[in-house]
Amino acid sequence: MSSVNLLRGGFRSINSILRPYSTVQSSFNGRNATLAKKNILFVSGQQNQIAQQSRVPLNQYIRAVASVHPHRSPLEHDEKAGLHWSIERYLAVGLLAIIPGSILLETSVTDYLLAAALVVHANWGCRSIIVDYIHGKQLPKIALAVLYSASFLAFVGLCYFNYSDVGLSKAIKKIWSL
Amino acid sequence: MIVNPATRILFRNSKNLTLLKSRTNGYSRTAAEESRLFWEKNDKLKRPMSPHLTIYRLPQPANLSIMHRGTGAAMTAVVFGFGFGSFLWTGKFDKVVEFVRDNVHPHVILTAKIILAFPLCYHALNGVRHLVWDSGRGLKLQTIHKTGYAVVALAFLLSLAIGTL
Repeated sequence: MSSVNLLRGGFRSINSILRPYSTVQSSFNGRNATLAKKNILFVSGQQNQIAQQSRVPLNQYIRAVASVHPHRSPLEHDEKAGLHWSIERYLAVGLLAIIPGSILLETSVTDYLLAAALVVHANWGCRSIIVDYIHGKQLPKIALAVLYSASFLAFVGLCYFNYSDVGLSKAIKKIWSL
Repeated sequence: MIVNPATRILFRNSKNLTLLKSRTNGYSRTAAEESRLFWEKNDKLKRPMSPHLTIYRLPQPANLSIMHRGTGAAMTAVVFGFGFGSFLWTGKFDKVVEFVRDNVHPHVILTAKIILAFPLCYHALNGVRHLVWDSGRGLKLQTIHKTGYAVVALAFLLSLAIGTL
């Protein structure tokens, strides 16, 4: 007998699963057919259907199991990861336009936009590298802290360059005119 | 909680029966716990990591994936370095450019430009390939290999073109 789902709710609802042990027991000791009839439960003069079918002792034929949906994380921040993933892709697509666009337009607005987009994209890329390859209790925290402070400093530096110097797009053009 | 006889016999001599009973969701342990126990046991017994990664030749998609991250990290270093450096050459960027023009041989500059352009071209083109994968397309293994070679060839040609601009 396979397990029966009584309630199958939506996300994060509690599933009550009836899991009769008759299958496990019969495959283990091969005594399913020889179980005595005295083990069948009678409820108020009427024969219990499950007990009649599976022919296992009362204390073993049924177990109610409360479980969270196995494919969904119960943590809230995991739910938000999907949104973050999408924003990462939109930014990647946006960079394909922002990089050539800002070089062609040479306006201050696109220079600042380029600085912000590059730093954020670099930060997220490096963050995934750190998360993938650096393990331990303290080391990932230290690495992420270094990354975030470096990103912040780099963004401030690029904005400072846009403000006090020729700006990113003109700088790239000047380097390429060498 | 009732534990069925089969499980009782299987875990007869085990201390883990308490662990088995302790969870309410019907599973004995979470995957994370299993993984942690496995690595703790490996550390305790001083087992080497197996299979050893370096004895295998990496397939082309893996190499290109590493290259994608490598080029990304390298460009991050350049962009961040430029950001930090902007505090050093405040308002003197034109002079820095003039200094390089006067002191570095044009062939070296040309080579440097091609070398600088390649990571950008490769990362952009391979990034598009990744975005196509994210949309659920082009995931057949043959297609992955073909687009991989195409991206490397295109990136090489594009970086030559941009470098010689």
